[in-house]
Amino acid sequence: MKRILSFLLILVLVIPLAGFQSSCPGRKQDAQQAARSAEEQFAAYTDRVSEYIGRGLSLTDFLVTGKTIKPENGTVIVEVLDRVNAANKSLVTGAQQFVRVEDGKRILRFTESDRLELEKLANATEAAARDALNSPALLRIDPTARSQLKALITPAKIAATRLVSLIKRAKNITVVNPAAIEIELSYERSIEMGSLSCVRLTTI
Amino acid sequence: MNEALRWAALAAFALQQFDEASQEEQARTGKSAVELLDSALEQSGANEQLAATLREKFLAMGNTPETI
Repeated sequence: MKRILSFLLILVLVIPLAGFQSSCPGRKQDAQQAARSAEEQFAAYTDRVSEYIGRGLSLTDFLVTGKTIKPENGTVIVEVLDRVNAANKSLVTGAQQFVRVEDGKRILRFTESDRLELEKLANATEAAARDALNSPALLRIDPTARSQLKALITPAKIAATRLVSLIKRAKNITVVNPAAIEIELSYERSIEMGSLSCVRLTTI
Repeated sequence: MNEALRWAALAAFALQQFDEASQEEQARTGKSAVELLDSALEQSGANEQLAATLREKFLAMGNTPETI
C-alpha cells in the first residue's frame, strides 16, 4: 500500500514538472525561439495581406472580363485594393530595416524604438483595408460578386487588424535578457525553480 | 443559361482562390520571418504591376458597349 502511495506521490510531483518544462521554455534558446515567433507572426500577417490583395485584384479582373461588373466599378475597386497594397508594402519595407545578420543568417528583430514607426504603418494598412471593405464601389455591384470580393478582402482586413494588435501588445514588452531576447509579448509569468527560469510568452 | 454559366464560373473561380489561399497558408508555416517579409514584398510588387495592368485594361474596356 505504501509503495502504491509513494508511486502516486512521485507521479503527482513529476507530471506537473514535466509538463511545466515542456510548456514553459526555460532555456535561453527556447525563449528566443518563442520570442521570435512574434516577428514571424508579424511577417506572416503582412504576407497574408499581400496575398489576399493579389487575389482580390485577380477576382476583380475576372468579374470585369466576364462582364459581371462594370469596368468603372472595377477601376475603383482596383484603386482601393492598390491603396491597401501600398500601405502594406510600406509596412514591409519599414520592417525590413530591422533585419540583421546573425551567425550568417538574416533575422528579423524588433527593438523598443521600432514600435512607434511600425504602429503608424500598420494603422495605415488597417485603415486602407477598412476603406476597401466599405468602398461605395462594392455597393454598386451585384451582391454575389460583392460577397465574393468581400470574402477575399476580409482576410486582408483581419490580418491588418491583427498586425496593429500585435504591435500594440508589444508595448508590454519586458526585456528579460536584452542580449538574448529583444522583444517579448505579454510577459505573463516568470517562475524560478532553482536554476530553471521560465518565461511564458503569449502572442496572438 | 448564360447567366447560370457565369455564376458557376464565378463560384469555381472563388473556390480555386480559397483553395490556393489555403495552400499558401500551409506553406507560410514553414517560413522564417525574413522569408515571409521577402515573400510579402515580392507579392506587393506583383500586385502593383497587376493593378497598373488592370487600370489600363478597364479603361480600354470602358470605351466598349455597356456591361452590367
